[in-house]
Amino acid sequence: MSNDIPHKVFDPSAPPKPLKWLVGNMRHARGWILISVSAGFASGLLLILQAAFLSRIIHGAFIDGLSRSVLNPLFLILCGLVALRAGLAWAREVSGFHAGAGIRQEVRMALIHHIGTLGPVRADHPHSGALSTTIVEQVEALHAFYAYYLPQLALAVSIPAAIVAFVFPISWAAGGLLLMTAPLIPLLMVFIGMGAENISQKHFQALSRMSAHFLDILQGLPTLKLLDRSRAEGKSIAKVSDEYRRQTMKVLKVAFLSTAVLELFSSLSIALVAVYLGTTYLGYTQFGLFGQALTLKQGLFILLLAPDFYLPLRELGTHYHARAEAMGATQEILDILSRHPSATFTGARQLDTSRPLAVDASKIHFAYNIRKEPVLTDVSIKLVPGEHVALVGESGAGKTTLLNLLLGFAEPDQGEIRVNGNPLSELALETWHRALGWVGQNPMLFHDTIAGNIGMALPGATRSDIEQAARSAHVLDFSRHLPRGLDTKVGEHGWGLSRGQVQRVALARVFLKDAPILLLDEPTAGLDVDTAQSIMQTLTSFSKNRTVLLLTHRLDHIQTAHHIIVMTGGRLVDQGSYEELMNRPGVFREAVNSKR
Amino acid sequence: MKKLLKDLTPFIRLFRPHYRRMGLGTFLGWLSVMASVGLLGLSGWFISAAAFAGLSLGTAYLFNFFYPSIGVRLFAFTRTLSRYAERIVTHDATFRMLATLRLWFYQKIEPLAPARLMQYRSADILNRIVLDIETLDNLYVRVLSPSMTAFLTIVGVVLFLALFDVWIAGTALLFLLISGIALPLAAAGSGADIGRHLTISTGKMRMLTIEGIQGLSELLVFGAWNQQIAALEKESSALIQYQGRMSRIRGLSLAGTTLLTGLAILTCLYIGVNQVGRGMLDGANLALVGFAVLASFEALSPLPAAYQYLGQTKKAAERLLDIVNAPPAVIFSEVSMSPVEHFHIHFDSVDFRYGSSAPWILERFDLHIGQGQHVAILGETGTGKSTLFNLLVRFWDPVRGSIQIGDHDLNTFTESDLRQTIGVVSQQTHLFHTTLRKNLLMARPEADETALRSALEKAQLLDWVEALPQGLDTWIGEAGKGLSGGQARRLSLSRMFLQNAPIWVLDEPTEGLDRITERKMMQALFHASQTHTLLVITHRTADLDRFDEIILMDKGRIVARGSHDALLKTSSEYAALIERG
Repeated sequence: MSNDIPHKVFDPSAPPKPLKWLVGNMRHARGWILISVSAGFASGLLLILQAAFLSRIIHGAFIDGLSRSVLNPLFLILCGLVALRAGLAWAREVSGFHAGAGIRQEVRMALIHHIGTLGPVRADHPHSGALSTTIVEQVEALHAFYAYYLPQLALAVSIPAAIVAFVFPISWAAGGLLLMTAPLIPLLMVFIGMGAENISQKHFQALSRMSAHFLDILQGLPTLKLLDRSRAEGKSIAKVSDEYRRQTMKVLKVAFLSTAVLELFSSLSIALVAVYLGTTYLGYTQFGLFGQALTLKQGLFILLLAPDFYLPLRELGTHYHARAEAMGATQEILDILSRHPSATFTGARQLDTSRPLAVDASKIHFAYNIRKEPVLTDVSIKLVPGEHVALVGESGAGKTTLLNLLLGFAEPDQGEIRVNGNPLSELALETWHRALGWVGQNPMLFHDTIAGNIGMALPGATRSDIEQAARSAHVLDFSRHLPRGLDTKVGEHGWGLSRGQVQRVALARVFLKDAPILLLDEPTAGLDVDTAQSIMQTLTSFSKNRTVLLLTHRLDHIQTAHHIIVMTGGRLVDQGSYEELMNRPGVFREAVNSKR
Repeated sequence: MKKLLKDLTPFIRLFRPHYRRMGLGTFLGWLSVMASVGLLGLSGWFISAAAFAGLSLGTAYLFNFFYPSIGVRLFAFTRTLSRYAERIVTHDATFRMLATLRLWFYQKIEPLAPARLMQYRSADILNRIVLDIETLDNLYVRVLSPSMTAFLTIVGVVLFLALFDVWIAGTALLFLLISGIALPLAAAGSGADIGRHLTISTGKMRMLTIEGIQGLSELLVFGAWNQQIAALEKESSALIQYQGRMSRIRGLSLAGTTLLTGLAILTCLYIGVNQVGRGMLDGANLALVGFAVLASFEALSPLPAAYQYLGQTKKAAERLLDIVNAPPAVIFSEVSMSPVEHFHIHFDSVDFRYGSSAPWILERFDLHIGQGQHVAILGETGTGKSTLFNLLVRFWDPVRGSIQIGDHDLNTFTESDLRQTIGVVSQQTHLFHTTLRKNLLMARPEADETALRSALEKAQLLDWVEALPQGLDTWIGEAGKGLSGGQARRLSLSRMFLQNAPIWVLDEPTEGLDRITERKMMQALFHASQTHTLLVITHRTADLDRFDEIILMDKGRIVARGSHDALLKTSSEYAALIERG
């Protein structure tokens, strides 16, 4: 096949590696990250100074017997240092936040814009719940990577280096002890990394599985009740939780060892430094001092810095889960960003909508996935201005897919759709949509008033336009009984409105938009007979002088169509007027007769 | 703060079975901090004393460095080991508490389902419940345990310091209290309001996102997508602004902790230097005091951040308690009566509405269905058909009037007896995220392979199951994903067959199915239901001639009843309905 639908295969070379992408995004916040690192490093230097002054005070009071008044200036300087470090702690947190916040906003908006260019068909691939989780929660999971992890990574190297640089000139032995562990630092970081990644992964996995199980049970509670299993199911909650606990704890016991090792390093280095210093003072050891005597203030200074040598590393360990989470989130984000937009979303040609519009889809082939069965095979269909076409077929025959192609939400694998001779893929989609009125199978109502839900169809519509549309679609018939009429808020998923009422609001949108072409996808699906009848009546009177394509699996309401097309299994099997189709043997006549 | 305690107390009490484990975790955490204090303090004292002793050869020789050097190593190992043990014990305890919390919540809402849970039906809200429970799980690890550890550390360190100097101990106490109590409370106070905004803002953004994705077709076709993007961008910025305020509070409390730690050491040293000068304190202890104070703050530093988000924990607790404390709509009898022998159904002058201000759905409704009869209840949506179902399975109770099965009032049945008497296929049967087999076994846990296969065969599903590579052990996706609507419906039909109750009630069993599947399913049903009392609630008009009787309902009333043939002649409404089909 020449046009082998390249967009459907995720190009494995195109999506960057998660870590590379994460680091690449730093460019949106380089300044803030730099401030955060600088604040952290400055604070580390001040900590070294603080240690120096503290040991001077103790030395002065104890060894030199200095009085407090002599030491006062040192106390004052230390007060200043502490205040400065407090300010730096604040600056570090806030600048880190700005780094994460800026990048989150960038990524979130990029995702949303991208979804717009994917269109409903491609965006819907896993299911909409997962997409919104990515946009809301996963993007949030990037924050700690930039706000804490990256800056800490820089500090975990620079602060220990600074400390060694101060300790070494006093005692090469003590400095050496720290330095000896320095080559271990990268190794330790990998070690901690693996451990921490394990901890967070296993922990979160266990949690999310338990939550999924719990959610499943809550959702199925009415069913459990009806099956007389609801009380027994409590035991299963306890059992599943216990199972997860056992499994997770097994892993955690090992994983925690990595942090324990680092803590042991830190504790032991303090102990060893103390023993080394003590025995040096007492004259039992005489090495590592460049031939000079060790004073108390020097010893205390080294001792105070020993725990701080490992502190940045330990902090990195606590932020390591941020890295794991960000990597996980990035996978999901890249999964969306690496989907190629449909070609139909990239067209730019304007359409002259003042002229009557003819649509010509010829020899359309389409499959949602190259590996799967084709949904449409060699389908051709023409919409002549002013003509009413009914497309009939059982559910699953490919009607809605064809409609999605006509809407430009996906591109045919083969064949072409033209509007007044213009290939749909070259048209700017907005101008084509401007000519369309569309009612889907499950119209979506937004968290807004009924009037707002109607008004969305025509930006700039006046209140009286909206009321007019609501009247024509018989929305007023039920809205007048609502406490706030058209200004009543629609609840979650149109909660509070019946299916028929939702359908009427959707019709009102189409009436308000007043477009020349109507695409109607099972506008009466799931409605009882009376409601369906009355909706079809409203539609029929509105359809005069417009081009209409009606998709339906019901065989009533189609007698008035100028042209009927019968679809089965993704192919056109017959077409003609109602009389023609009834006068010859075929699927259509059979179906109509079997119903009788 | 009082309100906070009030909301959290029920949960803290709930953790009672885990008190011991929680206590152990807290103790180990405390032990680890105290070992740190000991390690730094002893090291400081040791090198000070050694340096002083080293000034003259004689004292240096006499100085016993054996115990201190053993001591520091002992503290070093204690610190590491107790921290490791603490991690394991607290995580284990958290998992146990999580199980307790879930079980508690489940047992509380089980009697409320489904009537009182109707408003929580959507996946989103259930999801939030699950998240709320997780938030409460964190109560112990993030708040309770660190608070206790901090408290014990303050007590331990201050008592230890008092051995050396009361003034220093008092000063340390002051700073530790400010840092351990005032600072976290200030963070909690200033975080509470923003926390509420954060929750609202996140909710709004999630709603706009879900709406944008689900309504993408509408938004694109009607040219409103850019508006939606703008709204989302605005909400995302708003969220980030609130988070920014949280971050500034965090920054301030970090600064506060740094400041207080520093000032505590300085003040203690300031007093200490003076005491050394006055000969009230041994100079070697100066380092000990300073280092011990420094190390003790390790226990306090996580508190402000944890308390800052306490407002959200409280909100989660409130929401859960709100749900759990709702009165159940239906209370079942606890005492099983003698087995029911007749299975006719009788509605006697039933009045019903879904709330005290809702419109009446049924008024003085009477209905009798004889044992073994096959009856279809036909009518448009909103005529009260599904209400009959809800009343019959006692998801709700009539406001007035009574319902009987075989002359026994419905509310004399225990829940179990009622479920064994009525088998149902409801409109929204949930399929669980597990294997086909386990989904079937829910209807009858003791059923053997033959029973399962026969139930599947009756529902005309056996061929399909046998064609699956893993047969009955095929895993069903989340909420039945991977099954077509018809398969899911027939699977719930097999569940009903398995349960084999004498009365079968089906609420719109063929809704959303195409005609061929519908016909197959109804055939399966009629074939299996020879001796059962069968009640099918529907608005579809296919296969009505196979019922003994059809009841046509409109606006909560029976407008016509009789056999298909009789009704065609006598009821113009019925004839019209069939005609429109």
